[in-house]
Amino acid sequence: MDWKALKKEIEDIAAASVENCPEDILRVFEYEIAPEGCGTGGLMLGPWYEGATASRYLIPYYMYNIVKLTKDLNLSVERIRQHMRLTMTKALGTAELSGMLVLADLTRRTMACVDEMENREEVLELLNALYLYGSSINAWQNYRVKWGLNQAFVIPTGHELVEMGKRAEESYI
Amino acid sequence: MLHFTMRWPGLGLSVACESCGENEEALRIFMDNMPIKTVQGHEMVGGWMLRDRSVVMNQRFFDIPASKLSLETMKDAPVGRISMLFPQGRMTELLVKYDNCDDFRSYVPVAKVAEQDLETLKEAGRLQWRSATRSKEVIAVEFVVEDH
Repeated sequence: MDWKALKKEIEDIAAASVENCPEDILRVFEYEIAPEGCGTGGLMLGPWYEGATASRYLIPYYMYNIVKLTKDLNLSVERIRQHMRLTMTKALGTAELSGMLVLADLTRRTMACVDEMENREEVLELLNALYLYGSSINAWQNYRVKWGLNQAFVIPTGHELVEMGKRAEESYI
Repeated sequence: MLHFTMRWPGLGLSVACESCGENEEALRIFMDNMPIKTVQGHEMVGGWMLRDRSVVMNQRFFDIPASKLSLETMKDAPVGRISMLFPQGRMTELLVKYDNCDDFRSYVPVAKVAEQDLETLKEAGRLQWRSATRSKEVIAVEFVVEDH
């Protein structure tokens, strides 16, 4: 796989997304289109919340941390690969299932490309390109997510929040 | 055959579970950590599944490499399938399919709910969905080894 061609493709999409809302965001958050069957109970609520969260974890959190870790010059390319596989796979699956298809496709191809790369600086260049695009996705999500959806739910009172906090120990033993 | 019980004291429901024949060593580690109690939620994207986000394994460390575990999508799994997601160290997620799913993500199948208890499982799923989307009632689930 040609990492330079992939980097250029990501950078072009990232540059376009600075002023124009990315395709994923328009499809999922604006037009409410998700892959067939996606959304338990036929609700878009899940893809919105889970898709947004997974996308945010995928790049602005996991990839950010991997890029940050590479400041340690002793971190080998193999270690970078391990971190990518360990942290990003789960969020990638959820983002893809939620309809964030361009982001998922670019991430999958980046991971596959890194699997074949050995030059640490080149890997970092490629990861930085995806990181830039993912950050743009994050910003657009905040803009487009249907925040009013929260009004569909009962907002807990202070007393209820205290009671919920008391039951936190039930989360595991 | 490895057996355990999944029960919801708050709902007065319980189902018998057994190995599905896949990843038995992973199931043994899970069972060695029982009794396990955790808050249960509901999958919001992939279909009709119960979902436990934080299953802590404090008694036996999960140390099977991911490459040694077989995988299955919930879309292809039979109703009643119990699967792990990203088991590692002292933590795993756990999912239980109780009706149709379109989830194409890969999970680690470990067990199944007994055939005769599938209707009880669906009832638990229905109540959990009501909690997730409307009542917000906290529903805890327990996994225990019992004589069957």
